[in-house]
Amino acid sequence: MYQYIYDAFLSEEKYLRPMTIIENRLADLGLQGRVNRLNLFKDPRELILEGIKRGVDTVVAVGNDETLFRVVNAVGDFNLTLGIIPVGPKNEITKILGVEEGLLACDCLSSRLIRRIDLGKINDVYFLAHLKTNSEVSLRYGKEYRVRSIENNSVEIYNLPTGEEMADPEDGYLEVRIKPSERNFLKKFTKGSLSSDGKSYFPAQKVFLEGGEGARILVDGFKLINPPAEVRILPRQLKVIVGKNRLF
Amino acid sequence: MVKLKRNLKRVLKIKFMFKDIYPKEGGDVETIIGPSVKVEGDFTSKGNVTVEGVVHGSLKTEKDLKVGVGAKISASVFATNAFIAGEVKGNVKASGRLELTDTSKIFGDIEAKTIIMAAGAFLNGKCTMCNDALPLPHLQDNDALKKNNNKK
Repeated sequence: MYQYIYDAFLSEEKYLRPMTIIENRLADLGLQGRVNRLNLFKDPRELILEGIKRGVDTVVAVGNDETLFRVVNAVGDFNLTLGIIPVGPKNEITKILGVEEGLLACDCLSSRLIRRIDLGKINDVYFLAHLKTNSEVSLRYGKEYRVRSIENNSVEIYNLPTGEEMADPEDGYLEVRIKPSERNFLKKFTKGSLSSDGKSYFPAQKVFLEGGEGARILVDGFKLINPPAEVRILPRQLKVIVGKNRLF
Repeated sequence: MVKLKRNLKRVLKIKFMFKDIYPKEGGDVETIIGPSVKVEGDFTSKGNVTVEGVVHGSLKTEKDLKVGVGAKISASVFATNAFIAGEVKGNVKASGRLELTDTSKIFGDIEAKTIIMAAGAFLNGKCTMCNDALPLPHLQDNDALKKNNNKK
């Protein structure tokens, strides 16, 4: 049984027609189910718990990447299948999963191409795609070793690949990237000029992020967390309905 | 139709023959310690490691190690094959081949089965060679180690 979690912004007039078309298509495909709308007072986790009691096995996030982030954090603890229907702007993560917008998303849902992918967790927050930090953050791999930046670097941790960074969400590892800040024009031609792009690459299952007062961690582009934070991978934790054009 | 099936079988046979000769190397995990990064502690890996930054402590890998020109390692180093173009303050052990380029500086002992030393390489320590491959170190489980095992 399906449960559709609609984001609050879909109540706007400009989304009424696209949503009607999507709902009609879902009905034609026999994919009707419970519909719940998010707002400030409703926690997605409570809605999903209610749905589980009524036999829901597939939760579909209808909205954008922020909707997906909220639903993943609600679904992460349960053995449910996650689907996505992207509507509106800011749908970068759904593109990585190969889900197109509009009617094509309904067809993708109908095909039920399910993959078990890794899910990242930072403290108590789940993340699907990536973490990005500013230059104040350093890494510690348990008691074994610590990684610090000599210059101003930003730390990025990927679970899903993007157009620029490779990552495999089915390998049980997070890809840690340490990127140097943009070198100024003159430094490129001095003795210390770099032959490579200057990035560092570490695979990790568990890593601690530490930093001072100014340190910040951005989770999937939406939530800000202050270090210290424990980041770990939950291998093959999440079942997701993906499209054929996914990036992994 | 029969001809098509026969041709398809032939193509698949050739494909699998070459798969054995040229095995996929996607299982090799590579760690890169970039030029603006410092690693402190006991770094261990089962995949290839490239160092272009700074390492303090110890550095062990079961595969190949490459030390770039600008790298500075203050650690004992152990690898299967090592290519060193930077500075190492510590002992270097390679169970297979050790290559020192003209920009390399080693302040410590080296030990390997095969040693290649370019003109201009700096070595201030003992040099030991052995006929048999050196035993691999006992590596603690860590992330890159587990990843390589899983990929195989």
